Amino acid sequence: MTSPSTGSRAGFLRMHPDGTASYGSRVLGSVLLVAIALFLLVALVTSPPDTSEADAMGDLVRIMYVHVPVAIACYTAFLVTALASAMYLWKRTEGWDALAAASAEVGVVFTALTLATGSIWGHTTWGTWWEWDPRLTSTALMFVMYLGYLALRRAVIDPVSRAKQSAILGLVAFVNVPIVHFSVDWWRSLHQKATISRFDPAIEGQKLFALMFGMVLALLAYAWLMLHRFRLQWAEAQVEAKGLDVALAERRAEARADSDPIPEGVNS
Amino acid sequence: MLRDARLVVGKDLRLEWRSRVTISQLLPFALLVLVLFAFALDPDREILAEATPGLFWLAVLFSTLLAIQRAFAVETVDGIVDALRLSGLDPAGIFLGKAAGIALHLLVVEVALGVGVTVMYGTSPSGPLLLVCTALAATAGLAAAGSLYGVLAAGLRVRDTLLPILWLPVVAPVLLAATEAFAAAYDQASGAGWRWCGLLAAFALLYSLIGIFAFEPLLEES
Amino acid sequence: MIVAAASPWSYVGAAYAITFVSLIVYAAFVIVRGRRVGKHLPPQERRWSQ
Repeated sequence: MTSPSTGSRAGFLRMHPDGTASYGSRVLGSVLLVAIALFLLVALVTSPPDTSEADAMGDLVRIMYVHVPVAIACYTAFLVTALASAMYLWKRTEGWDALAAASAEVGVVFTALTLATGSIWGHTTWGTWWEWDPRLTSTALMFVMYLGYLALRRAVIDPVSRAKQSAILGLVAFVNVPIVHFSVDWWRSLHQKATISRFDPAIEGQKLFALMFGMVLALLAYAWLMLHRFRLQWAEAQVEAKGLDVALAERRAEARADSDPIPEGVNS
Repeated sequence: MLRDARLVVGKDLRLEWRSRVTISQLLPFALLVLVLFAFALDPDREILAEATPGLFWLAVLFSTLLAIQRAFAVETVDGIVDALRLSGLDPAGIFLGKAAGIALHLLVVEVALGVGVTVMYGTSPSGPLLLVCTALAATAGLAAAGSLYGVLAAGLRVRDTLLPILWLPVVAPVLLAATEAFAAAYDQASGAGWRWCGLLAAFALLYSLIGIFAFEPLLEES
Repeated sequence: MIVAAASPWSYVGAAYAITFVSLIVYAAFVIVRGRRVGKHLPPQERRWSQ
């Protein structure tokens, strides 16, 4: 179902022949665009400000409609990485490794957004950009953990080694997430000041709808990003494999050309 | 598995005894960190005494990084990690042996730091049972996680920069829990302290189990 | 932009802007990389465009 475009001069929005787009991703992307427009309408215009309590958040509650969804997306992404890592360790097919890697990168992006929106949200309550709130602190640690995962992937050259080592790391990192959450939460509950308790306003009715809509939208955005990111990861793996094949073939050809016929397998 | 663990610890300890590299560098480093903390904070106010539990465990954490690097560096020089892999030793045993080696080094460092902190920061230790149990549980957790992440990073050229960012977030809860337990011991509010000690024990157990299962595939790839 | 703001809408605006702009920039980054890598891949190996 590809629409042939004029090679490298294809515009950004036309389906590029070399790209990671497909009919499915086009459909999902269109749905996503419509959903974003509707969401912005609902979240920013039609849903009411928070007036439920005496010191209610007012319009600031709208920040939750992006903060909570991106947080949901980041946890989903890391869960997918953990599951894909487990599947890789079981099946040893490169597709699972590609899925784990792609989801980790997308997850890191969403985690950064969680921290940014959480900090903005916190500033409205605390007046400062960071107050060691347990959830944000745990998220910050998780952010560094998965940056480490991405760093490990960059550090290992052999594809099979890389896949195996990152798979184990992907699983262990996810196991760490609840440990970190639990201990940081417990830690802060001992030292908490009274101001922190107003972090979560009451959400019901139309506000709840906006929040739910946001969460669905975040998962849709995650899915769309994953379609492209996974294909990119997979394509990179294929090109890398071909690169290795080409290099090996060239070496053998050189060896045969340099001297008289050499028995196979004496190259290295 | 345990027999192989004992073999590995024995080998590493004998190596250490002959060269005394780790202790002649780890101990001074740990004490140096204590001095640097005093430079960074104001030694005349109460802050050093108040922050003693946290500073103690931070110094332990940084020393552990060195200990982990060392534990696996002795294997990777001249490609000896291949010998370890091919030696026929049970990988789980190698994991436990390496972890035990790291733990023993840490315990020596902790005793030195304990003396250092009492002398230099002026805090007088109390609640010795809680302190000892916390130290044992925390050390076990640090060493188990360290052995696991150490082998992961061991074969890589970037291991010196990669190990800290992989391992430190993982043991951040250990820092938290050990600091709280020590603080409880010092303040004699030991009830809360024992719960943190329990968390440390659970962490140590969890990472020992993870290490026993995950060490073999990681060793193959290092 | 945010520092002197008393209005809640500047916070809301900042949060939404950061979120959507970052995601769009990241999406563009992924798509552009995808095209660059795809150039080296023969069409038969690109299973999603069949």
